Amino acid sequence: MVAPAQTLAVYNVPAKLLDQFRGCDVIVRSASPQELVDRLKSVENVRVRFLQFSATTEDTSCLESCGTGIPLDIVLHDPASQYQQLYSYSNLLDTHPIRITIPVVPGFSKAVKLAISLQFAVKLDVQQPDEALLRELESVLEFYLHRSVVNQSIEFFHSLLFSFYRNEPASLWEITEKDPALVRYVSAAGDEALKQAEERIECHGCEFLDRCRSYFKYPDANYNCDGIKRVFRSLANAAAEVKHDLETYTATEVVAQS
Amino acid sequence: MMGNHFSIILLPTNKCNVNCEYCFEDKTDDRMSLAQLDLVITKVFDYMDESGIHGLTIHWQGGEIMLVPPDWFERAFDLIQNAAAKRGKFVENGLQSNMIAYHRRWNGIIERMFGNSVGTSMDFPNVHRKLFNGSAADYTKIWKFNVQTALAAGISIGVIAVPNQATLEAGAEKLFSFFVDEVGVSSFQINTPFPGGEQNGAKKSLGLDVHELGAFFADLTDVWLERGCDRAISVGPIDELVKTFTDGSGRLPCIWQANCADEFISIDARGFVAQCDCWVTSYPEYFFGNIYEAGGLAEMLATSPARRKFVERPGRIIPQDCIDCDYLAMCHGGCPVRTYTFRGSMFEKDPYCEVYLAMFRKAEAAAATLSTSRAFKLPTPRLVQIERRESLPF
Repeated sequence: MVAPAQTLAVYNVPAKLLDQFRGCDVIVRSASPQELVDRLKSVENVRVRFLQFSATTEDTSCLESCGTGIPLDIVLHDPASQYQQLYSYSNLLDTHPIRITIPVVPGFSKAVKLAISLQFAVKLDVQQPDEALLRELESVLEFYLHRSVVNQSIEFFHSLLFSFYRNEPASLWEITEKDPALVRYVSAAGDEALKQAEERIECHGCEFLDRCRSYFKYPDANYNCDGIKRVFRSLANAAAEVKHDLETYTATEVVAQS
Repeated sequence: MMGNHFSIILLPTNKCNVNCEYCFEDKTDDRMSLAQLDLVITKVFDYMDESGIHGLTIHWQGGEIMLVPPDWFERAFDLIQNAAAKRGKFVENGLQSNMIAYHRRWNGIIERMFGNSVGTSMDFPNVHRKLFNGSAADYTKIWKFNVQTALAAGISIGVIAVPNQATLEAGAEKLFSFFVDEVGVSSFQINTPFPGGEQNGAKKSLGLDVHELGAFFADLTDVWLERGCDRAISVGPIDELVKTFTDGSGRLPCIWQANCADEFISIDARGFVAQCDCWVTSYPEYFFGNIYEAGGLAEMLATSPARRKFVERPGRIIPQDCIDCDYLAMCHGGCPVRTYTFRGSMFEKDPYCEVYLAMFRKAEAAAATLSTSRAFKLPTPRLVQIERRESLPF
């Protein structure tokens, strides 16, 4: 058992261990929405960043009038078969910001599309996609970048697009909430994962290192990044387009007003 | 269950004063008493308390709503406002009438209770809307006179129009001219027809060729862009679609909500509760229950097998092919009652799918054109989206 340190990190903790994290910033997770509600009511002096629960068939109406305004992160484990279930969460949008965390596994794009169609934000849980998955990932990127029905963010695309747009460095570890300096994942047994992934030597010289930070070289250091570089390049190009659009628009406005 | 706002379509009378051939309602002579209204409001507020809901919108219609006299509404309004004040609720009211029985004695309550606004219905050309003792032309003449009288009194009028084969033959330009130039309204919307209720010859002719109807909507979009957009003329759902594609701010009609079961219910004069006015007047097998007799609305909605079908509909039909559609976000499989009345099952996508696709494509293109020309004084949709996405709470 690790005692919570007084850091700026947020602790991702199982609901049953919440009372050990009084005074801390926490992400509270559970498989059960009712357990989250019960713990929120019983444990004081915690700063809840968001609540996280797994998509199951369990009724979530208990969350509609509890913890109003606290963001909810709903985690799909098998998106290809679970995506229709997203309809049952749309009522929660009236009282909570909602994000759907979707693993990048075959068929995940249907869940992304429906989540965005229901006005949910999306976080992709990506590891080292093979060629087939990369094609699906690129189709989702195309959807995110170019469809006017998309009004919500899809992470990690969104933060990277911003990073390119503002010409600022970023870290995929941070964006995916896997940087233990920022998010400390506490297991059901109360153990903390603290190991920081290091940049791989083979990544030096890569044009995207200051954003990827070797994310895609874990766990397999031999992973071929050519496909994922296409994703980065598309985002960089899109950011350049947006910048150009905005400059053109601003110039047009100046002409119109003069 | 339904977020922080609740809506009911309330029918205090099931009786009507006209004889429209395509009406989906099976009429009765039932009328809600003020005591029954009090019971309805109490149970609705109880439900809102249990669900943590503050706001209520009541859409008043019939039957024909103006068969209930204005003084009944004066007392109903006081009853509702007093109850709302005691229970800490906010209530808005909307009125939908055929305007055939309109008289200036309605003006006071229309201003006090309904924000000086009335929704009505008329088709162009009028084929199916008829009086009990008179033709469609007679109906149109009375309607037009009453609408123009109300407009002259400063009442805002919105019109719902249902196209027929003659509408498609006349074309979008003539329809627009009839409502805007001839009648003088600045807001109308087009609803697609469906053969609800007891069948007859007129209802068998309601189905229109989806390609022709899609082309009609595309033409109407062009007419609106040319003649309505800059004059603040609202042509629904076209203008709201364009807003949606521009910056996501459009308010789309109930047929395109993610799930109408999350949006509203309907209660008729007999106390029956169902999904909407289309269901509560004609399909007893889809009633959720009776609010006069039920212990509570929350339990009724939570346990009704009929309501469960509406709740489950999008999740069951989306995998059929809507999940592959570019416009899933706009439509979610469309309207249950249109599907049911044409197909005999609600677990299929809306039969007007092709029409909706044509409308969405046209509106998306129009939004791009308008954004480029800065008609909405906004940069491209993508930039708006990017700015909006910056303040995520996660």
